[in-house]
Amino acid sequence: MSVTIKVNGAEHRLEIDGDTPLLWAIRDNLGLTGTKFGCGIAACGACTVHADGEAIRSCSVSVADAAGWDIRTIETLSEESLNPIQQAWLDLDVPQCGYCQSGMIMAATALINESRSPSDADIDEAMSNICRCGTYNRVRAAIHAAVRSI
Amino acid sequence: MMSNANTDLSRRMVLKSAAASAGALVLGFSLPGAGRAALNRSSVTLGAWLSVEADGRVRIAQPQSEMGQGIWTSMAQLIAEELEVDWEQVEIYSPTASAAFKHPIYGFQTTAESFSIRAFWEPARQVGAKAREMLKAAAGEAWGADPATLTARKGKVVNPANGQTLAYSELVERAAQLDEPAQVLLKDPSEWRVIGKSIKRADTRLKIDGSAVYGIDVRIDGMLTAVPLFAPSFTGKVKAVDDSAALAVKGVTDVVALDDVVYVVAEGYWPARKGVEALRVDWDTGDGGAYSTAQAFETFRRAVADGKGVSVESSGDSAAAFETAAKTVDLSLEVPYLAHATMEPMNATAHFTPDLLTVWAPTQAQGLMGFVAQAAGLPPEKVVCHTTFLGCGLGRRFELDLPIHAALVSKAVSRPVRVLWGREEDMRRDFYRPGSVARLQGALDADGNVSGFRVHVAGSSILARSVPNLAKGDVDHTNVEGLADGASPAGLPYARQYDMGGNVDAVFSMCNTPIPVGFWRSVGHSANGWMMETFVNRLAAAGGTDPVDLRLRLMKSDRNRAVLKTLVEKSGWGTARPGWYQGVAVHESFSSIVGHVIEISKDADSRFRIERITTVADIGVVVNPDNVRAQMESAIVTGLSAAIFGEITVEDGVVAQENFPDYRMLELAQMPPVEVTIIANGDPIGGVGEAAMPATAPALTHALERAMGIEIHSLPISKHGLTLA
Ligand code: FES
Ligand code: FES
Repeated sequence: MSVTIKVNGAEHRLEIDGDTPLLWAIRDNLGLTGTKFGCGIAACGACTVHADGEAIRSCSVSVADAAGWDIRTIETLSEESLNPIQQAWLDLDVPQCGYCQSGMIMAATALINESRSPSDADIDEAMSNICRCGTYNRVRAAIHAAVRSI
Repeated sequence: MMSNANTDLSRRMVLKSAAASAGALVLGFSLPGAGRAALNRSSVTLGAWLSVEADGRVRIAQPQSEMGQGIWTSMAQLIAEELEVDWEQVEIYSPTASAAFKHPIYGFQTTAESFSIRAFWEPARQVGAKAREMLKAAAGEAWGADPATLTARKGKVVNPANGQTLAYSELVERAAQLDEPAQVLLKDPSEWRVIGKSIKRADTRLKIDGSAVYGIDVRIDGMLTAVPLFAPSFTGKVKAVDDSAALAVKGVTDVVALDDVVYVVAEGYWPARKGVEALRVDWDTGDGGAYSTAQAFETFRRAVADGKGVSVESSGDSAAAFETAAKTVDLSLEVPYLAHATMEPMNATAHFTPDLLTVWAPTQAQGLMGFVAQAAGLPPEKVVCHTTFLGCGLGRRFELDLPIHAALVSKAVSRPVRVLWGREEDMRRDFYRPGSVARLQGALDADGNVSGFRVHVAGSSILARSVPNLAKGDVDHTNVEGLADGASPAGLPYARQYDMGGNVDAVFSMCNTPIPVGFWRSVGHSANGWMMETFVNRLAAAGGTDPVDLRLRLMKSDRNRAVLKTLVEKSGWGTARPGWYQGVAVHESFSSIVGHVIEISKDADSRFRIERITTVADIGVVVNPDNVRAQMESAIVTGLSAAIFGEITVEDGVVAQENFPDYRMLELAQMPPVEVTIIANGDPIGGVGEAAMPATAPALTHALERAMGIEIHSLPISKHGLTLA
């Protein structure tokens, strides 16, 4: 069957089963590999993208359900310049292996778009992404730094 | 980021004519047996370590696997320091694997045992220094000046006598004609401008916009994706495959049966995954079909109870010491099997052709790819390996199973193939941190001094599986490192930071089982650090001594004592805030000494919070302080996740855990502030990627024991009715 999804501002008509997770449509069909696969069951956040501005875990929504949403991936965050979250990530050297960081950055960007000055409790709640390298303290510090810079 | 430069690097340092023709000065390491001399006239960078380009760029090949530890940056710092270039001129890339990048200790290209900076500390600086001296010599020639009177700074050679300067870019052609100097004098540490500085990581920019290429991101024209179905036991074999339903799934192209696994090959991960669901395989589950971790631990406990094994340390007369002891401590401890669960699931990409195997992989073992070629029926030299970024390594990516599977499936389907496992396969087909059981006994004389020490460890050997000749005489040093002093029959040393007096017996019982075991961040120290430190706390309690005082008394080295004393001071040991409980531990591994004080609080339901961690690390020499702090925190998080939640169990041949919900990780909301103090007073230089692991679990259990009034004799903590808030 064919499904049309809107990713990073462009419509893509894909010949694909409707039950394919959005993650695999993004990675394998569109070739946008910045969005990562970590668990496949919405447990780690590596696959986080924005759907109509909200952070969602793309491994656990079907491409059929995603049709009609405005989906944004990590590749589109910095088309002109780094967004404040990315800049803070760069300033504080947040990533280690970096594998979880696309998801972290998408989740953090959605958080500060929603709440201009998130408290530590807000950060605790929004940032449930797993980082096996343990970058958590820098993630928290970078979110606060990004907020200060806006 | 990745270079396709592919060459067998010359033993000689300088590839003169090629470099000259390309207008670049190219250097590589000269290591014993680094392969025959070769010149590749058509290539610019030639897989060498360093090229100073005519356009002013300095390209540094960084052959160690970047898995988060920051080696891209810190290794290049060593070269840039001696070369005297602006960091902004430096470009770092991951080169094609080459014999030129042999690890000076292991003899093949690999990233393991926190041994990159430690091993390349001299050779990497020599590369930079030799290039610098050649550029100075070239300037001397140009000016008719004595090179010894010239200085190099910020990518230029300067003649202090008359102020003349020439940029490196203007000197490379001439420099490339010169002979390589022999050993060059390295800069005095007082002159360092790059080493010891918190230089920004060279890979951060790539890791914040999705452009960093990990193994899972490799895309080769015509590539297919292969997803596995494994036998339901570690000893299983394929008997028969019914692939009709799998092949009917849209997008599935092939089904390839290997010995103990069947791969469904498709145009992308999802069709392959659906094919796996439709696949029917008849398995012979083999000897281990009903095996369990419960059986493994029974075996370990019996071995310890029998008291028989191989002596790995013996001095004095421990029997007499225990007979005459005023007090004794007798402690049995158990640690579970652990999975690596690297953030990036297991994968490798390969393209097999009858004359060459090409591998793209997030690997820690580039220098072993010859075995992969052989497994695919090619001579060992017929392999090219490109290293991607690694989404964590943790030791798992030292194994060759993934590249071998990719090579075999590619060979079967005559197309490039990316093998990609789901999290479930990753967790169920790991080479686990060995579970183990140890009995530790201490004798105290009437004055409270340690008069005897016995330790008996039982567990599986990683080396007996992976490098059997290093497990000669049924001793694997990794099983006893941190607990005993000595060297294995294969000559590999192990050490304990404490002097336990003159009456010591240490015994190891190698009990290998069907459960595969492997190198896991800090290897044997990950278990033995917890055991040793927990035992010392019991010893202190038995002798009525303060646990810090006893450690200070028993530590062999002032270096270790200094770490503990600094820790006491920085943490405010003994002056915890009301409602907080402190735990302390110190461990030495990878030539570094790291200690933590962990402070926790508890609520009425025995739920605990980790409030604060104070860490002191003596790492000898610090290359990049900010990165050292990051690595300390990183190992602490790995250590906390393992200590609190980590346990792999096997029932009826199958691993019970399959994904993060049943193999949990610490989360951001649970992460305490960490304050790191670095001690770096010169040699010996220590590793930083793993050394903070071993003391994490014992500092936490110490705090919990004091808070809850309990004794913890096995990990993980969550088994003991204690919940992390
Ligand atoms: S891959 Fe989607 S949450 Fe883990
Ligand atoms: S940076 Fe490695 S998993 Fe987060």
